[in-house]
Amino acid sequence: MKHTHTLRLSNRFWIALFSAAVLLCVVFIILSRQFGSHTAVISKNGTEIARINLSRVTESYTIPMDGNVILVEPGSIRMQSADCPDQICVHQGVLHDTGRIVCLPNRVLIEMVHTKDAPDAKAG
Amino acid sequence: MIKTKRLALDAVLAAIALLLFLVEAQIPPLTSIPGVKIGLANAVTLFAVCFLGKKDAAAILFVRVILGAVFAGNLSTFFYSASGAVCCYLVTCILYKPLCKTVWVLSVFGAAAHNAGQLLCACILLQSPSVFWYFPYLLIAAVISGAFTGICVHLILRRMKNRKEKWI
Repeated sequence: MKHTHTLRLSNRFWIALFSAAVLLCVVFIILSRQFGSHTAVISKNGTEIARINLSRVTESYTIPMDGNVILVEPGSIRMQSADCPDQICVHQGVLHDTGRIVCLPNRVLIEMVHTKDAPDAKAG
Repeated sequence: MIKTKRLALDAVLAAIALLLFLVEAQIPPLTSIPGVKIGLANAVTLFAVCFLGKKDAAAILFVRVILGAVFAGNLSTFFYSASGAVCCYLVTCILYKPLCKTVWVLSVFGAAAHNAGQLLCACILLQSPSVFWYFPYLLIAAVISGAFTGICVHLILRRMKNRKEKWI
């Protein structure tokens, strides 16, 4: 095989480094999921509109915003519909504990917030 | 004569990059995280940097980003693809000298820079620094997709090496 001898020391070094980076990311994701709270923040144009603690929601309801409809259910939140052509935010699915749904055309952002640690300090 | 050939190769590469970019935009997102994709268009940039040089690569990138935004969508597409592409290009150029022997490593760094640039752009456009929570997900995606496109470019470069004199 011609490929095998190209797997030199430098390649092994880089593979090890990237594997370590991936592992670190996975650990970080798992940790942030475990310690994350269940609060969803809805904002438009960068200003906060609503803050919902999903673990306290007992029955589902919808929040209409111009162009978007947000569906809040016990323990989860998702974008039910949007008036944009590509429907990316609708396809982004359901949020439970982490992540965010972004609607770029209407500049709507739903995100799960982590109360314990500052989000931007760790990403550096 | 040689200059004309080089210009033709630039144009062909720009066309390939644009086509890959447009085809990739049609593939439904693999995950719920926006920005995770294979990044085949960046493979062309990487190939151009390695094979033709930095100036030609910049020209190809410029054409691809502008025409990609014209064909594929709206202004936000343009900002995201431009910020990612420029970051990817800069990092690739800076690291080209030390890493030109291991193209796949170069590609991984390029992909990571691409995602970082896009995140920065999202941070500014959405005015929400919390989008950086995505960074670990995107970094994993960058390592996988970057290694993949890097190996592709490596294989192409190996086949094109003997014909380099014909082009430039």
